[in-house]
Amino acid sequence: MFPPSPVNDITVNLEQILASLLVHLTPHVHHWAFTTVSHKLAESVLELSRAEYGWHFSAIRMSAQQLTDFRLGELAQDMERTMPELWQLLDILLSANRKPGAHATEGDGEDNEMEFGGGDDEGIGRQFKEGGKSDRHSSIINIVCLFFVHSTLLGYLRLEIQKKVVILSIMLHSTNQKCNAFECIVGIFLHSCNTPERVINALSQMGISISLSAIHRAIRSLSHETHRTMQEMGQTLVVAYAYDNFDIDFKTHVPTVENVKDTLTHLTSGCMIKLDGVKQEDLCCSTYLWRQSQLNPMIPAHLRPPNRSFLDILNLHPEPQSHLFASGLTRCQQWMAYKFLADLVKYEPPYFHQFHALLQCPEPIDQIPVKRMNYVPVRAMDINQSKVSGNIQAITELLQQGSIEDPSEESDDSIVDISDYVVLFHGDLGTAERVQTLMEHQAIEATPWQCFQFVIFVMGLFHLKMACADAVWCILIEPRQARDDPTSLMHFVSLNRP
Amino acid sequence: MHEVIGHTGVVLQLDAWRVEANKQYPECESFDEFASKKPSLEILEDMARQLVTSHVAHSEYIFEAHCKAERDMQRENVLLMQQYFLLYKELSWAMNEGDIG
Repeated sequence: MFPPSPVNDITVNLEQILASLLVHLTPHVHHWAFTTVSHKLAESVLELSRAEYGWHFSAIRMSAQQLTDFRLGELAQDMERTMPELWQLLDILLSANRKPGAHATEGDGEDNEMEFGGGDDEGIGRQFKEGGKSDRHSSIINIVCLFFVHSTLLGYLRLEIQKKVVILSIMLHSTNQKCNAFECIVGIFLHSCNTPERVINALSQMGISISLSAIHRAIRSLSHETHRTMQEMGQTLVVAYAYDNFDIDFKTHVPTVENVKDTLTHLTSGCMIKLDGVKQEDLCCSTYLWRQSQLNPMIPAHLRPPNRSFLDILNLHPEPQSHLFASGLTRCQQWMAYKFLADLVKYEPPYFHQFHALLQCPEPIDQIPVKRMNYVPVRAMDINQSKVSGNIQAITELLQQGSIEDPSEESDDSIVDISDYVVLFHGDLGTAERVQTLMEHQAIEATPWQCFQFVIFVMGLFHLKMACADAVWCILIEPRQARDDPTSLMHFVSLNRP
Repeated sequence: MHEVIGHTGVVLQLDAWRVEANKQYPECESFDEFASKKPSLEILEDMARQLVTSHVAHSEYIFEAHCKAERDMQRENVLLMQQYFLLYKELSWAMNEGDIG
């Protein structure tokens, strides 16, 4: 009888055989192993660089949707799934001084537990949290913020994963020029940050970003898309416009006698907000409102409606008698009582925390659903809107960007006539005053368009809140006498922030 | 300013709770002692309603205060401050909830 075939034993004793080969023929074995592993790793890179995985972006056909849908976390997961060996190899190489055993357990465990796009909110990630929800028509800046939130160049994923994604992205891009999702996102981010061209060129040569010309092509594509969206949105008429000023300091390199004037340039930016749950016919009330308007010069003085003031607002929602009899408190006081209780439960000894779930929010009086609206930023306008004439220009140009123009001049029948409709405009309180003045000025004009009859100004609530905070400051902090007393607000603040 | 209103408002409210708790349970000097009494939610709600009328300025209070021969102006000021802060917070709350009423 022959003993069992030695061939069978090779697989059983493979480790021993390799170990002995390694001892006696180290260079050859190293070379063989290196070549084998290299081929295997290269194949995995080639695999992920194929178009089926969806990491091919085209700069010429770049769309906002592509940018908002990009998730660095997904890219990292794809990489880890498709090229696990390379992923692990990078783990080891990125921390070559760490002990292999410790690294494997510690690092892998944490990576597996990590949830992409969720988790802790620290650092810059938190700053971008608000702007980070998915929105088809976000501005480039918002897209970039979103990129941060979901991706993490700065926040959510661990630093090592970011590094690995960057390294592997460079490999993918180098293998297949079309596999450039990561580079595109970085390129647009750099553009939105006003990065000097020199830096972009350097980064593009390193393989981290797409080239400068590709960035410009992508931006052009995105601008065209935004332009189309703006026109489509504007034509529906179910759109509100918001605008505000912003200032840029254009410093001249060589000051001369001629250009010593102010270098600060005042511009206007704005956005179009799609109104949710509003139909076009809901806004067809311009003529009706004008017939009752204080500004309408055609109405004889004695027939004009009385002046309205904030006192009229107080009577919009009178206190229901039943409420008053039940607790003896007004609705405002009931809310205050809730606030007292909520703060006690939130800040004081643990005993009170048990009531947290039992606390009932005060009943809303007239609640509208809080929704995230779709909006598109409009092109910045070279208009100084601190004057009435500037506001006329700003309103006209905003509408023009939505393809709405003076109906008397418009020859194209496809453009919607706005004469019977109202358009909501939002802005700060200063803008509200100037728009009011401009409407008074224009009221004597001949056509609804020239009268700015369609303008309904709705002040921004954020500015209202700022005005309220300012009022508190004027009452409790600004007057010198208000700061003397030990029970003054200033004294409390000094205790809080010594 | 927003932060100042937030922080000072909470501190003033908690101070009002301390005073009210001390009034109802004279032996309670601190919140821990108040918590040891294990007041029910109903009692706390009653106290909160009481706090709103006694520790926050309102139109009747201002009228009464002006009619008094000896006025405690510091108290009046703190109550007014409390009222302004709570109105500010109510406005913020209503904006976030979409309550336009």
